[in-house]
Amino acid sequence: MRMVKPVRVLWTLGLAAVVLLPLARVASATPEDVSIERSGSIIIFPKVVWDGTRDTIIQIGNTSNNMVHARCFYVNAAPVNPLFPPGPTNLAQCNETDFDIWLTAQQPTIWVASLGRSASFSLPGFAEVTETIDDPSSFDSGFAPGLIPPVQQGFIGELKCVQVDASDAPLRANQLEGGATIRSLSGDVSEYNALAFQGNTDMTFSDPLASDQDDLVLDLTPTTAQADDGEYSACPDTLLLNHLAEGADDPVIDQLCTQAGAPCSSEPLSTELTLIPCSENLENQIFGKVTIQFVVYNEFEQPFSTSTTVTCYLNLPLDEIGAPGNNPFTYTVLGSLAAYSRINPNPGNGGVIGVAEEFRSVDYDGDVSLPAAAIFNLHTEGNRFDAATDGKGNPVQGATDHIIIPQP
Amino acid sequence: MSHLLAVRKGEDVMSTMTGNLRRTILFGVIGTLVIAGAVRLARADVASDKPGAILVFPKVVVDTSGLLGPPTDTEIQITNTSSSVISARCYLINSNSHCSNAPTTVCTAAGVAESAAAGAGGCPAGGTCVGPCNPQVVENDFRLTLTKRQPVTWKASEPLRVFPCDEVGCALGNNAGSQWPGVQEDPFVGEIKCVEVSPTLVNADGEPQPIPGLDPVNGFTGDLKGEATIVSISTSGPAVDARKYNAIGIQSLGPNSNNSGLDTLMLGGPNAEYNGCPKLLIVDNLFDNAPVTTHGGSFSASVITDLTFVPCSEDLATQSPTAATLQFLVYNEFEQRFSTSIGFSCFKEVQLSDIDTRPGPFGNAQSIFNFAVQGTLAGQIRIRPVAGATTDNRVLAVSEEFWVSSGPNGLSSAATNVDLVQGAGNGDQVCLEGASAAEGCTIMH
Repeated sequence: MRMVKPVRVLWTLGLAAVVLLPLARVASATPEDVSIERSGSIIIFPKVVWDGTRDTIIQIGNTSNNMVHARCFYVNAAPVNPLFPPGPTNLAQCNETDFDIWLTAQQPTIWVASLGRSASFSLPGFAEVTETIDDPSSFDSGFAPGLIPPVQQGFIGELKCVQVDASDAPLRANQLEGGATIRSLSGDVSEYNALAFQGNTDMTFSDPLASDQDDLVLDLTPTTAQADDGEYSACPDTLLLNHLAEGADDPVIDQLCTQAGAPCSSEPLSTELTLIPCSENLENQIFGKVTIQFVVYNEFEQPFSTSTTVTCYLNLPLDEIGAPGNNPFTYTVLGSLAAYSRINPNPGNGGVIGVAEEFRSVDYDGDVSLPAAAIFNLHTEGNRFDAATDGKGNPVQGATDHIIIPQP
Repeated sequence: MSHLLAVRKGEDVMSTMTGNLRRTILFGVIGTLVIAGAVRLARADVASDKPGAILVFPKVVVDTSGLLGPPTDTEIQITNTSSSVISARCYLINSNSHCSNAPTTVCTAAGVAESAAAGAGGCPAGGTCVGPCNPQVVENDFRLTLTKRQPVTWKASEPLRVFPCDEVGCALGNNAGSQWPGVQEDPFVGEIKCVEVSPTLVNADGEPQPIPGLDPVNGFTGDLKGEATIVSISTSGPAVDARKYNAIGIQSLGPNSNNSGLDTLMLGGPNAEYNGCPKLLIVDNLFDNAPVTTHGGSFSASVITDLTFVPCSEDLATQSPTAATLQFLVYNEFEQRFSTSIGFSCFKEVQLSDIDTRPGPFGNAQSIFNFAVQGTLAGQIRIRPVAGATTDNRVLAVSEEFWVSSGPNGLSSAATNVDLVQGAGNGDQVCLEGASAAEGCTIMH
């Protein structure tokens, strides 16, 4: 007996729903985007510094009840000649150093970039607590996650950790999370969350759709996840940065000084932007190059624009980005304190990720304070793999980002 | 394609077996698209790196006279990330505690425990520190209208009556009706919550209608993003401190959700309009009083951490405070596990070591959050809200570290957003001023 048309239609829709809804539920339980709040299979610390004045404390946690292994890579992006600022004639070194860490169930671990961490096990006794305050070995308390090398003085760059199994093969289990604290000799501290790329837990390396195991493809999006495809979170399409105009005085500081009757006032504000390309070939030491466009909106809804190219690493105050003169991030150009920048790669380019750090100082009776830093994570929108836009919502050609790690 | 078109036109190919297959493919595709819509509904999130339809600043601090510490104020930044004009209904919730025998004197639990002077965190003799939100939530509401991609900023301590596009107007609109009322008291600690609403539509409650979001790039899940920067100065020398966190964005479930537009906002649960709050918060912490040494082993400091919690369920209609109980699991670097719990109402700012000991320094060395007990610097804290009868009673949080060292800045601080784990549940509710039990607000007392 033949079904009448409407019945057949409903039957087909129902069948499609039965087949696809479970997939949808699986996908929605673990959103695919890069996140600063969820654990992931690749975590990236875009800004790690040890320059003699600022040092960085790294914290990484295993959020699961299983043993977790990770391969970590420091990428030193300090300029070749440390006496001169980075630029076209003084490129970043961009060499990487890798090490392995092992974390037991729910284990947190910590180290400071300038010291690393020894592989030895130690248990500081309670009576020794006060003695360990000046003892760098206090970082060795707890189960050793493995030998973690110190970075050389003058280091600025990124740290990237990829979850792997016991054989060092990448494992998409989303069990790593972390944060970094940058501490200055003034005592000032500044903290941000590591960026976590989600791995597609449904795709194993035996899956015919999976790439070579040393080639981590950043192509996991809501669309590819629906097709049970995609390995790791695709890079964001647009970075959203709320910032204050370069060179403006901080009205909060001025207000506090006035209210307290203190002889002080704000020094000009500055925001430093750190960006890294999502694509990196750590096997061949070939680093990504991405040209990005900035559209900067002031409080009057007026847009300004500029652009720059990120080769391996960018760490610059906003007012040094783009062509000199009439810099669109400055108070003199923007004419308002608050600004909103949309950072978007050019069509066909891969993505970038990063953090921003604000610096404030106060002039106290002619004596200028050391800067107080406040680092923060950027907001993100969309993805570069299958939803690339020009930053205004118009589709453009995207790109597939790859992180290629050295063979173990 | 011609075959598929033939199917659409009802041509004869439908009577064949091949036609049946093609028909199945076509409707399968349609079914997939329909379900893709459903998937999009479920792709909302609670995140501090994504715009949202509800924006939460868990902690805003003002103490311009330096009564409770160094002179402090908070800089608020909010941006409309979309290309459309949007409005927001915002709520400034005063979470100060007050003395039982001096109702206008602001106090802190630690200040009273340490016998601080009245006005400096303590109370007049015989008084106890009551609150916050006791007996009611004290909130001021205010409105914002933001034009295309417009950022705004203000100091928490002072009212802002004139917004940038009020007088001159901007290309797409103006900031009509926008204002920041300023905090109710100084010193102040509390929360700001903003809900995206239509600039033109009014709901059945007679209020601007909550809407999912207007930006297709975000899947219409919300257009508000923000940051808070807490700034302190020294009155005795050249020193300044700043810590910054991202406001937490709760995304709506998009235009195809069951968004009623009423004043009872459903966060998760069976009738969800917005994403549910996280079922678990994870904090990577340094244990209190941890001796941290940096700079090649030459520069030491001692660290303490404060956590600030705000409930996801809030009754802003009758100002009934909502309560939550939090279970803590604490792991040290030896994989050793400890647990404790606290209950709170409305707002909770607490130093880690005071979670399981009395407020103030006394007893901190015996806390499971203290380095003296744990013996390792770093920990992982997993915080699970205990579900109530009708709502999940989930919470949002921000973490702050305070570092004491010998450097010129002396006391320095850093703020960060905490990690979270999503999970289904009964959901939470935010009941705005027009909400009622009849329309589904179950948290009213």
